Amino acid sequence: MSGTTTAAPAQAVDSPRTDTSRGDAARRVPVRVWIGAGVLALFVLAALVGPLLHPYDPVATDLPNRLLSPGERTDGGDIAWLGTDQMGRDLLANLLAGARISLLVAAATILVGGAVGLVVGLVSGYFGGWPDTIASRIGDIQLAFPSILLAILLAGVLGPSVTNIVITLAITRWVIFARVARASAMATRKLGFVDSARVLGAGHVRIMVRHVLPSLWQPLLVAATVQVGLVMVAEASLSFLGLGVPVDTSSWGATVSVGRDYLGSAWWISTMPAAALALVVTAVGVIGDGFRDASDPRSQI
Amino acid sequence: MSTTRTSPEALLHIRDLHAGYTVPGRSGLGRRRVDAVAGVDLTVRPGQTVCIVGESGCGKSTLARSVVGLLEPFAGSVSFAGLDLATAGRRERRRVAHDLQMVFQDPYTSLNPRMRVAEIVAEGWHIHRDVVAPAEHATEVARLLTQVGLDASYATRRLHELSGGQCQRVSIARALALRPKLIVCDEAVSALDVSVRAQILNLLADLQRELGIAYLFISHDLDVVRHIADEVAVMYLGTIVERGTAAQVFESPQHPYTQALLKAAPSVHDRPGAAKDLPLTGEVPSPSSPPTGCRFRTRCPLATDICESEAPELRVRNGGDHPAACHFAG
Amino acid sequence: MPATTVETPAETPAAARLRDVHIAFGPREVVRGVDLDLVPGRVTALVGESGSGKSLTSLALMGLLPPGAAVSAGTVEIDGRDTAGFTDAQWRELRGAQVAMVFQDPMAALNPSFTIGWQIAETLRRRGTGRRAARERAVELMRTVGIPDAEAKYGAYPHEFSGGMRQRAVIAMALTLDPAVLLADEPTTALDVTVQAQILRLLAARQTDAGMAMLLVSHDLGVVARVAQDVAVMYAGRIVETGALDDVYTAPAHPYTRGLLDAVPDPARPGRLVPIDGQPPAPGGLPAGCAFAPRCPYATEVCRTEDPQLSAVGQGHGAACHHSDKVQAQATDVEAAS
Repeated sequence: MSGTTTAAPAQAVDSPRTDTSRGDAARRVPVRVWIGAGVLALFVLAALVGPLLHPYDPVATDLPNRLLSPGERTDGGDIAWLGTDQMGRDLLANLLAGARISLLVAAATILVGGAVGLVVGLVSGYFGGWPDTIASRIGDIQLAFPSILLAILLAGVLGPSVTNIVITLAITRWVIFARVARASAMATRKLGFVDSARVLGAGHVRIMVRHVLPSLWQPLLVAATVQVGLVMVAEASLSFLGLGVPVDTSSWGATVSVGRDYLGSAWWISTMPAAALALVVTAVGVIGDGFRDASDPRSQI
Repeated sequence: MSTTRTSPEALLHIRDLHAGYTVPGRSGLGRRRVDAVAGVDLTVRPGQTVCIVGESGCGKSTLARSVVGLLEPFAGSVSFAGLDLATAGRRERRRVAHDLQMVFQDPYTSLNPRMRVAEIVAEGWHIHRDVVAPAEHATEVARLLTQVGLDASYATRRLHELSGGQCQRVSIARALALRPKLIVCDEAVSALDVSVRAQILNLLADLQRELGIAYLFISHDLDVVRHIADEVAVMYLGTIVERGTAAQVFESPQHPYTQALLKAAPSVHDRPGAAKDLPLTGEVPSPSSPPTGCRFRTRCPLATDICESEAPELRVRNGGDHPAACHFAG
Repeated sequence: MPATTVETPAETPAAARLRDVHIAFGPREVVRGVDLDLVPGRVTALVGESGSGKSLTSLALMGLLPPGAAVSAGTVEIDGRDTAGFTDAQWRELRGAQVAMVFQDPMAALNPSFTIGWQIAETLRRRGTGRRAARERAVELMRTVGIPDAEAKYGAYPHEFSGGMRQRAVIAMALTLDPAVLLADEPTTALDVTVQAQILRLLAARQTDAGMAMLLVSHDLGVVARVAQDVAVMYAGRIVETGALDDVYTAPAHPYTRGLLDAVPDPARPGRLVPIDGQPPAPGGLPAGCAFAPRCPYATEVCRTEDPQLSAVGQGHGAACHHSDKVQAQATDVEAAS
């Protein structure tokens, strides 16, 4: 028999759908996703190298140059492109330093919350039964409670620090990732190749890691891009309320909060960081849409 | 004919197996058992092909899943090479996995699309490390692929580059990798085109001859079953209604269901107009509320009062040469 | 390319007619010149394996080609009207009334949110039948397709029906407007053997009663043998053999038809099966000459250079093969020997 090297076509049902071309067209990344990725990359770059080129001193005061509007010159002769704040500090330098904190908090929160959610969701979705019931009910209870209230409570208890705000926000976010991971794990668990691995004698850990986990990445990535924006807004909200980063640390949310008192006289203090926040959130959202479209076959037609 | 006692040479021995699923109880409290398999006895000997034939809902797939351990039976026993799988420990059951493999109906869903052919075939060796040394994985994969009629170069391909028949060959290679004594084939050729189906059936026959593998072959396709079976068991609504050699069952069917099934199956030798009489009306009742007495009586042209009150045993009657579960067999 | 038309045994004009129909997905031709006449009162089977183009051919008759596919050449004529350039509205007018279809999966053809009876009646009401009359006609149709207790089942939802009953309901829907042509694409593939037999019998009975033309698309040679009078065998987008069922099955003139028939296990021939070697070519990757040549045991030099046209090998029996005489001669030998 081993001489025969060929076999013939697929299912006995000849569905015309299998004839349609797929692949290349679906894999093409739309221009808007590239723009989103470009904007995000620019912000990441600015956060990394910006403060080195244009340092920010949070405790400096330079009263003669306070509340300069964007584009005005300081007495030193430099142009304050985005203006200065109530202490005379350059707003651009402030934003660059704030980008570090805001982006770092967002990324760390997604990583921590995503990792916890992934593990909980994978286990509860794969095994079902009582582990799933317990995890799901905890999630339900937490989701029934407005996440910003929970964050305020936690932040108030833990006190202001960058680490604490990451912990706080991760606690409010893991449920979302757990739900996404659980749904995918449940769907994958029922697929034939999981049965096939069990027949080979594979244990639960092997099946979860080798067969179920790979199908969770895509939906989690989509969820993460949505959450990045929300987390940045939440961080800004907490900092705005004074429950976020410590006073000597710059963050976009904190700057918006400070600018609140000067909205009438110096609109730029609040507006500039808010605009930066909006831009990043939108860019990440567009990238997330791109991921979702690539993983959702229905949106390709 | 075969009895329910364990014969020493039996490879797979199923005794009074009940298996299925549970549904919410009628009162809304607790869960109620639905026996998709309701008391099945079956024996497979080494190197033998035993076919289970029946329509959807007859419990043949539930039976297959119970045999390979994908489903915990409610009651009864499945023993493999003398080892009772219900009472065996985890380690023993894993060792049985060597000898007891399965090929599924749809190769596209039963194989992980993210893996390459070589990884699919070799996966069992990562679980049972004593079968093939890691250094020899590549050569052994190549040998297996050749054995199932694929070029060794397919090792690096992914499933979506392969046709249905080629995927099914990969499934077979994956099962063979653990050097099994029995392969359960659950509708393994049903999704394939006619010409490819013939290729795969030939391959299965060749492997049996070369390696002495036994098959428990589940199918609804009577042409295929008649072609490959040594023994046939006909299932209806969770029970075996007739059992015998292929010749016995196909040439002198004893049970009215078998007779109807054989008449209903379309054949290339049929001609329009030469309509066969169709005694069967209606469809298979739900296994959650099977009829009393004989499970087939609601569709049976011969049914009388006794069929309603008394379930017929599977035994030889009236000088017949093989067992059937019908009061009027023979 | 103009294929030689084999005379169909038709005195009545065809209810639907395909002439040299090509169907393409962009540059890839999947159906490559099909001629087919669907004659009132006759069942024609379109046989082939996956990817042969048989389903696309039947969908073209409904104007229901999947997105990206289009009839790129040839004519699709229904009731004497060329459908080229038909608008959606024109197709909708035709569907149901002239051409109706029974699909493989009845659940896909039924809307799960509406009752079976309502869905049948709706077709009538859209065409202006009154509410009460539509209901009565729907119940009557349900009765004709063998749905027991039709009056009570009128209000049942699709999920309350078994697979066989659903397919009966789909057949009732297809018959609602007395179409001249009934297309049945693998109508029993998803059903059990005993139910399949019931549905085939039902389809044949309705077809005979109404004198419809019916096109049965199937990969199952046994199902075809039970219902069809005429057969057209498709391979790689083209009809390679056509004729009366008896002629094609007993004296196949194309090696592919022979291969298909031989690949079916036959109790009279135990032992190894005779599969067709290799696999069908991908659309767009067709070999020069005859598309079947690479898999064909009869292939010679001429097959690799010259594409054979459908030509007569008997009364109303045509095959697209350079060596059909040899194929037939050998088939007769085998018949005689067995």
